Amino acid sequence: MVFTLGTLFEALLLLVNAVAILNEERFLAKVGWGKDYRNEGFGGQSGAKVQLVNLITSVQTLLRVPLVAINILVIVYELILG
Amino acid sequence: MAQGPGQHQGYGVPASAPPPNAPLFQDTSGLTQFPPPPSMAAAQHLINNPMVSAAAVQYGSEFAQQGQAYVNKGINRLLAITNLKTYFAVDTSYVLKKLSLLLFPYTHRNWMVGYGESGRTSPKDDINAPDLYIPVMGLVTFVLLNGVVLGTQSRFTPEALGVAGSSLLAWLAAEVLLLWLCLYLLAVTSQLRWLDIISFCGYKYVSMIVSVGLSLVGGSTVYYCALGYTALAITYFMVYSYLQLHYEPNSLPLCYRSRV
Repeated sequence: MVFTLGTLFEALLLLVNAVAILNEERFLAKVGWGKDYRNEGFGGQSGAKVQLVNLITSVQTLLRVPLVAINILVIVYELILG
Repeated sequence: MAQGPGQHQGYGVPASAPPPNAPLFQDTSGLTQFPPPPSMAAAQHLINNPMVSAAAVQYGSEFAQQGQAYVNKGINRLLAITNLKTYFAVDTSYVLKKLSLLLFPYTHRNWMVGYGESGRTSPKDDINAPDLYIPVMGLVTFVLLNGVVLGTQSRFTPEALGVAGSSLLAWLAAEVLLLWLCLYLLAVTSQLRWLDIISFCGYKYVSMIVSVGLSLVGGSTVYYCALGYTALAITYFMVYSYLQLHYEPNSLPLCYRSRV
């Protein structure tokens, strides 16, 4: 199947959906990737993990509502146009 | 003194005469304070004065210019319009040197991108400066080359060109997003903007064109050899282009620096 901008958009949407539904208290905190990660560990640690945890938290807080809207649009599009 | 409305026509001011029944003088008989507070009649008298109106027009136009400059700055920040010109300011010698660098980067020593007093130096002066001319030309050339290859296999249709073009653009977008994500996660603080990342990711079209072009001449073994060689060359080029982000003069260049 040809890789077009539409398939790229669908793949990105699915990936962002996956990041948005990672549950904070049931999963992330248990693995040590929760929002309060910095308080539990030693302070002053920087690098990829802190950036990743920040990215996940910010995606969840900022993008949950717009994602609902975009998902509704894409679902309607797929229903009507196959 | 009571004055008729025709008095003000003597100044030659166009039709902004005060309404006929407005008081043209201040009735100060009932006031208790001095000086009397200003009233609309005094303000209209002031506006009808041509010197004052000229000053007011100039003042207003200054504000308009400031507002325009503010809007322009906002738009420039959003769209990077003024930056875009430096990415296309290339000349023949730069293009030739850059193409030879993309195919044989092993002897190049200084990879730092220069910065002048007005931002980045233009590609005409600095061979390390990223440009957008080569990626754009490479994209179009590769799409056309796709068409040629399909034609030699008698599979060519005009829609195939469009499909190839949009597929290339989608892969470019995916790669740029992935690269930006990696740079963000590694907390690399640098001066690289989106256009630079697009430019660096677009240089690989040169190696793709060389490989596919040689395969037209030589067949599949030449294709795989050329692909291997150009892939190594472009990887070397990319690694050294991005390594300069972490490099500061007077410091150890290749160790991981943790931010405190």
